[in-house]
Amino acid sequence: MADMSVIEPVPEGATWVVRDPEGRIVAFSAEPIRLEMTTQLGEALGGTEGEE
Amino acid sequence: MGALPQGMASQILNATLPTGAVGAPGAWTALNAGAMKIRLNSTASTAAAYGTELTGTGYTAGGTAVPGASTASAAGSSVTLPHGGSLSWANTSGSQWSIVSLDITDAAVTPVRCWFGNLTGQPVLVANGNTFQIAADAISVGLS
Repeated sequence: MADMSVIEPVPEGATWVVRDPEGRIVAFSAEPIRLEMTTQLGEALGGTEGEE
Repeated sequence: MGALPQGMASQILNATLPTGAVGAPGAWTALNAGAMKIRLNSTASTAAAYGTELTGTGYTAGGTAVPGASTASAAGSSVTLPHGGSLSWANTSGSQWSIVSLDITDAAVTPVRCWFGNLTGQPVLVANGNTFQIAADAISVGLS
């Protein structure tokens, strides 16, 4: 007999998912995983704008 | 949220500012040429140190290599990974995983930590028998 099981597709926009042993999704997140660094030098230089 | 580890921040600063001889740019220490890795942790990584790495069957110490080359940054755009496919870890450790953070490292035996950050929605609980999967290009890394 053919195995007709189908792994549940990743939800649109999901960044991570947790699947059970049958492939069903039991948890997921659609929030981006962002690793960002702010360039503080640019902010510091911009801080003098408008001063008299 | 995530950021540069202290060591990588110093690398960038030293290599792009006059910290070298006679005011030249400082030297850049090249990273390992192998595929970079994503390491998963059960505690938060910080600028100073890795989080506590996952253990047990289903997780390879040191992390898992990305499947392919990301699209290079242009005009300051962010870089996304893993590119070319998702990454999965099937937990057969016998106990639940609690995933809080990840690190991106090079492939050296003693890796260089390049970026770190927490997972959205952390802690992500992965029961024994379940699989944790990061979708393709789900991690966005940038300097803003």
